[in-house]
Amino acid sequence: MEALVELERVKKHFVIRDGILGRRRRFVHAVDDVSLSIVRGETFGIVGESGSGKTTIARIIPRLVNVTSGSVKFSGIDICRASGRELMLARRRMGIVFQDPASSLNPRVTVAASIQRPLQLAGLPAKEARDRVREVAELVNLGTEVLDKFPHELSGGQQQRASIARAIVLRPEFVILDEPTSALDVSVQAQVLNLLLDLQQRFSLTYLFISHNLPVVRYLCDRIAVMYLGKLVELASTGVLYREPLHPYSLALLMAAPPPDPKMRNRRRFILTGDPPSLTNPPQGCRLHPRCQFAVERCRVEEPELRDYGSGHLAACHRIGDLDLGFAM
Amino acid sequence: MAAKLLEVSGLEVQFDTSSGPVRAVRGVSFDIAEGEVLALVGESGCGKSTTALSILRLVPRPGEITGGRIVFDGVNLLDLDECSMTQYRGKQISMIFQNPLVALNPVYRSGFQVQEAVMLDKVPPDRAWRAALNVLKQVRLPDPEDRARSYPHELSGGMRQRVMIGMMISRFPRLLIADEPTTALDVTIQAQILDLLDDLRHEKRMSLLIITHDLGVVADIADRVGVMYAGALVETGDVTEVFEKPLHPYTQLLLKALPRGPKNELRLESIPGGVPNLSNLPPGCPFHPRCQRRLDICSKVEPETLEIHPGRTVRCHLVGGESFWKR
Repeated sequence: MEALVELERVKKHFVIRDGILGRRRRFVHAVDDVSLSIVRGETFGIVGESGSGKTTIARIIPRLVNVTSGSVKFSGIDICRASGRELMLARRRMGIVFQDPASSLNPRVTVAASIQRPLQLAGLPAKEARDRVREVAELVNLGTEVLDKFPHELSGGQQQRASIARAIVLRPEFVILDEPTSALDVSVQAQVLNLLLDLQQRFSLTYLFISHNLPVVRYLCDRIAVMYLGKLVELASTGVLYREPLHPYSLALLMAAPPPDPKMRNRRRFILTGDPPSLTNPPQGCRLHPRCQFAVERCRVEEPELRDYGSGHLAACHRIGDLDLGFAM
Repeated sequence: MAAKLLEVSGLEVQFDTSSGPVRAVRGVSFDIAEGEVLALVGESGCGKSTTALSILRLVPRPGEITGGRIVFDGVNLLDLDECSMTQYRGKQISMIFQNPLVALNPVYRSGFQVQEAVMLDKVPPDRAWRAALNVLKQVRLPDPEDRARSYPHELSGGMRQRVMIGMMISRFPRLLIADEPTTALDVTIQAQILDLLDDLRHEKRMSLLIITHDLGVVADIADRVGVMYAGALVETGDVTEVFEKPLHPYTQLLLKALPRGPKNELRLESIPGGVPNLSNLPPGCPFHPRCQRRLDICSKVEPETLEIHPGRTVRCHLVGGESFWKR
């Protein structure tokens, strides 16, 4: 198993200035000491609620934001220290699809021009580029009549397909999908998910899939990382995470979304109390402790470390030995 | 069977746009009994929110209710003058919206906004304040005394939604309309709010109309469900019946389009094409271009609503013809 992307002890702190003339500085610990690796050919999922740091990780890998500390490697290349040219070449091997397709396509140029832009930047002759655009449009089931339209003339599903076309037009190995279906209707979401699966099989793509929609992540991903307030709290293969979640937060997240089945209404529930705390002032000790019904004194003072509980199942919780959260979903 | 609190029949809403009239709601009929939870579910642009706003007669211009009846507790709300309608809004029927940050006034403290609602019933300020604190306690706002003095921007998304729910139930309405009440919230908070709505409905014996695009929310809280597509109600029924034996091809596909397990177990069913544009609906049944089981008649004649048994309706040519009953 070859790691394509490796994050080691990555931290990203954003500075917020407030107070008089911005003299007071506070830090938002968007990503705090996260290490993970994405294996070639897999779909790696990151789940978490707003403020968990999942989107920041998506932006750190192609160095759209610089890390505060730690290292990021893509296929052996040290992204944080790469020179301009090295970085450019590495980025050509990655594609990104953003959450909101309407705002990630340039409204002033046609869809074809948006998809063609990466090819231009890579120095492909115009004629070849145009052929490639048509080819890739066919791959994502975008009719050729759509190519000469402007983004606002397209439906949400078509827009997202155009974004996917743009992300794969340079034939990358790795595609970052940041909530690619959350702006779409259910019927259209299924089309896009099936398309992503087909493309992956055909081009042996590696995906990083970021979402807050648990059923979608379960459907698509081979391994899942659960994040809470900038911390990685659990990482496991999808089957293991659903069968034997170790962290109380994972359990709460897995059980929170109501399943589309009225007979499951009286299922066992596990609901977290309270709201996620502020990122500028995260709780001491385990960040979940104010919302966790299993918290003990130790959770309040000592931050739990991420430990391996066998075959790559990582979790960070003091109470794993004492609790049995296992259940069949 | 409990008495009907709300009966909507043949509701028509039209928006006059520069490119001609758009029928956003086309002949929608449903009812809600005392203490019942009805969910209207559908994708963007299906007319579910417009239907909800029509009940309060709050359809924004250039929209206009052009037909039908909305009978609440024996009174057709569409016959009332604006002044009498005010007696219903907030008092008998109230509504919570998707985004509490937009719906709450940013320059007033959250407790005051609830107090203000209570004072509409001519309650003196001090008693109204106590009532407001009480209601904030009922919606399980943590530290209600402190939070009542906070401004909306100082509260988290979940707390804001609790304040809004508190404001809306403070006058003991008989019908609460919730338009995507959990869509803007994180999933762990969504679970809390759904539980709260379910508890309140039992405690206060309120009827609830939930507008959502999330079939999970429907399955979790609704007694009955209406599925909307392109401005029309295509299927209604008891929630268990509709989820187990959906009759309309759209409902069937929608349920199969939801991921329920890992990819190697089941490939998702996808519905070809997209939601139609209401200003340019296809002739016949609006779903026919996306329907794999369409008949010749489907592209010509729009199906009528057929009642299978009381409370169970469907609007599809496949159901009700001779072939359906023979199967």
